[in-house]
Amino acid sequence: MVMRPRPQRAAKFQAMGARHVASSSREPWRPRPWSKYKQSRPPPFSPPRRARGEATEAKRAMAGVVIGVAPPPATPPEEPEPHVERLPADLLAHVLSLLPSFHDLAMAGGVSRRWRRAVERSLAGRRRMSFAGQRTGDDSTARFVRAAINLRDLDICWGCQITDQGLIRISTADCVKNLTSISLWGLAGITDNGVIQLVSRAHSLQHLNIGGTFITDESLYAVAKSCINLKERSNIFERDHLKMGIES
Amino acid sequence: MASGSGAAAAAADAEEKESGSRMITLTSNEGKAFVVTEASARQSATIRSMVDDGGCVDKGFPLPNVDSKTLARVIQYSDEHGNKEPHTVDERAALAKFDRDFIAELDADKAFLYDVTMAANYLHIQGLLALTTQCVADTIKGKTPEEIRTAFGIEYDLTAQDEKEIKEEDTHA
Repeated sequence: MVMRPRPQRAAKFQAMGARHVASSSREPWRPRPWSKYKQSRPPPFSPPRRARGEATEAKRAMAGVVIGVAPPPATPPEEPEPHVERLPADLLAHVLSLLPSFHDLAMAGGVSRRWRRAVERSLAGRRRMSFAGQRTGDDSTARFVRAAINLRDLDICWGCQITDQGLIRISTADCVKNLTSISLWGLAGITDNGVIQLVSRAHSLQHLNIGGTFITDESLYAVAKSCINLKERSNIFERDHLKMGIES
Repeated sequence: MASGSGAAAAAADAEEKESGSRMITLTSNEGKAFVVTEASARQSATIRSMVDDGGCVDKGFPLPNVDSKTLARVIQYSDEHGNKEPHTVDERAALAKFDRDFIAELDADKAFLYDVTMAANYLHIQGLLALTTQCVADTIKGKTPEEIRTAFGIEYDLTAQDEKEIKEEDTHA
């Protein structure tokens, strides 16, 4: 391969200008607009800095190379550096598990791909989940329960807007067979259909609270049939007519 | 015990006899040595287990993941919590106030906050980790995704597929 010396960029540029003058003599020569010139110019070399917190800057420089646009000159970046991205994934997931509501968690899931995975991780690590007073609907509740693969203790208490649809969707989650505790206390929107679906798959159930709901004997038969490990019976028989129903 | 190693070791020995607590040397990744009481060092579960195993107490503990600035701040916390045992209500209130001031100062410098968080995680200092992670969680709380991105300076990198999924989730929620 023959190595030819490349002409200097400025010389090449002038030559192009000269041709331009020769072809149309009426218009005076004008330099190319800066924007066009900028696109053909490689970005200045920025040495890869390996210090902590600088990884993103290096990445941005790389992106500049790919697109072919010179990165902005060395002025301080206006937006703050994503320092939080330095936190390891498990630490970010731990932070997200401290968020008080599932609404906040859903919001955090929409931030970036990394945060989306962190939310999944945070949910997967939970053993206990309480939706008490959070006004979550069928779909969002079921989605959170499905993501919580290690769940043992599920509390869907008063305040949730759960119907049978939600319970049926929850019952198909993988974690249901491992659940040891379910509380449906005070859910006015559920009936036997949903509860039967849920308890018939919850074979490990030890504690069940169905006080304050409008379910009938049918659910209790299903509980008696599926949940052989049940311990705390008092919560089930909170309502007198149910108690009579199961005795008769 | 290497008693001839210098005045520092002799002083440490004397202190050990005097107060019944040893001094422990922690070395940052820049090679700077910090001498702390054992009670303070035991705030860290990592160091506690090494001390209990009867490891290199005399040689000190090199901490290759922690720089001097961060270590100094972590020691400030563990000194406060390790060397004092709050008995009265006032002492507990003073410690709670220390925690509040400590985290307020860190909250102002987010980059440093994450350094301290990672150091607390590495050293397993539960109290400090709880304090710093809660501080980050409080920043996230009650914000929309866009606001979180602005607050933390995160670049938007969700694909159209991700967006579609999120949109579906939102409409059902």
